Amino acid sequence: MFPILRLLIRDVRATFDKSLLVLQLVLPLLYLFVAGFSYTNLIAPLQVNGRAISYQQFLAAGVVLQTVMTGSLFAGLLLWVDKRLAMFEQILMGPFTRSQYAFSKILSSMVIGLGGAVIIVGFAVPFFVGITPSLVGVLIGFAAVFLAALFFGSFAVALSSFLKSTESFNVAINLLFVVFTFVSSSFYPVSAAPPLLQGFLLFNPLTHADDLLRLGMYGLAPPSSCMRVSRWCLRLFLLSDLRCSPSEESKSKANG
Amino acid sequence: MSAIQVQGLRKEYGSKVAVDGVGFEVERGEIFGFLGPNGAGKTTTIKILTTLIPASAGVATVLGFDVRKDGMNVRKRIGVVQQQPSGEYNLGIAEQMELYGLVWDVPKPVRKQRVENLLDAFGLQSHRRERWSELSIGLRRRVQVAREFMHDMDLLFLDEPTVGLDPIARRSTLDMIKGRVSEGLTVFFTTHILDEAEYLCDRVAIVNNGKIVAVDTPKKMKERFGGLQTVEALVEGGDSSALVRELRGLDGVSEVDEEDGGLIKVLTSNPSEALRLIGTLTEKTGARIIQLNLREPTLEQAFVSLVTTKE
Repeated sequence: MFPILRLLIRDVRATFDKSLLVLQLVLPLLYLFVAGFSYTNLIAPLQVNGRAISYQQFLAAGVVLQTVMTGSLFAGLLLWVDKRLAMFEQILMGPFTRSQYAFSKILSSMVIGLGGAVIIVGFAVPFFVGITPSLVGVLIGFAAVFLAALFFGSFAVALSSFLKSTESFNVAINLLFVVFTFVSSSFYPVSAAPPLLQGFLLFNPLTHADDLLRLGMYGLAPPSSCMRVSRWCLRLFLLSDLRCSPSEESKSKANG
Repeated sequence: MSAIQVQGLRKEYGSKVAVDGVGFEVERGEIFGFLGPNGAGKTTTIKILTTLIPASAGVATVLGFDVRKDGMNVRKRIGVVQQQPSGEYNLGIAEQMELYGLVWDVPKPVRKQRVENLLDAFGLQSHRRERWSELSIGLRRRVQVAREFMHDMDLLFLDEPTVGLDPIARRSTLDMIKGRVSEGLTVFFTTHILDEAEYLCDRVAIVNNGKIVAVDTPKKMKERFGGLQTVEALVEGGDSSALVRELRGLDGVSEVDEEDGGLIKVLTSNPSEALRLIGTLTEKTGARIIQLNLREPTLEQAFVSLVTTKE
């Protein structure tokens, strides 16, 4: 069996906490069914390509990607758990390269993020009634979800390599979740935000992934989202690979 | 071919030198003890040899492979029990051992069988479903050592593997290791417990401040650096104070203590002369020897002597 696949199985069986799956789904479902239904009565439908898109439909795409983000972020941060339980070094002293380890962590976070997204899409099906995206649209949508999972997985793996304590882990998780979620176009289009805030929204890869998914699903035009998210993914992937080098990690532990 | 060859190994962390020009060789099938006080450079040396961190200078080959250039070939053939307990937090003992076998690509039927064998050998059967988070430190340590035997290896690095183990578990762990060595395994072993090193190791290196200060068999290490032997005599009746006086005047004797209950302890470089004198004088004074012991210098004495004099 391939080394990366063995590490992926280990992550799914051992490191991934099953309660995370529930947590990963509860919040998006609340957004979808509570915020979605409530705000639809307040927000007028968007006109796209001569077709009206309700707020619930707009939000559904954002919620799918938010699920991807939550799952991938949490799973990517499991590298920190490995470090805390000394499994990081244990694995790296086994028959693996550090790149295989880093890639397996990113892959695990993608699998977990995408798994959550599939479930949420199942719940969101009623909101997509009447929407018939083209084959190209479906592929674009899939690219958005895939790239978001890759980005957030890589980001979390890279971030984990910097975290030293439980406190910093908790702060990072909470802060990132809120910032990525609300400073993005998950809940509202970029054009609806004040000009100053728009800059921050466009800096967030989740915004571009959201826009890309909406492009695929509804034909809404994004600002060159695919390239932006891809560039971010590549940067983060390389950083996470680099940061999995154990030499940096071991400096502080060289006590014997 | 040696299992480990190290020459001029050095590791610096900024201005701090953790390993300072270390050199040694470990033969195949040998249990090699690497002993030293805290911060001596033992764990750093293990981390370099297991390819976890690069050396700043020097050459190290493990099982014929350069640790710097051919790390994967090294890692495929070694096992490591780290000083720090490591385990899968959410899994039961049996499951995490089985998973560790999978990570090492051990075929399913083999790993199932190995799990059962190791659970028996390490006395873990009754705990097989207990999760890592529920285990005591001693049990975690036992699981960690047992788990490493899930995969095949030619060389096992053990970094203070018995810390936290009770005496029975410690002895069974050491015996298990000895058994594997008789089947061809080579072991690189660090410990603070010198009795263990004496029991287990074919040769030991004593390391201090990043440098090796001596390498030899435990027996020769004691002879060379252990210093004086101790003669203990439990004497009843007679004039013990005269005996103590005479012993203090004997050549080679550095210290004589008389404890409550008539136990006389003589620290000497010439134990045969001390034994002869005790025999003669007790006969003359009408005393009776209840017990007579000659204690060899311990590895601990050799260790303390080497570490303190070289500091």
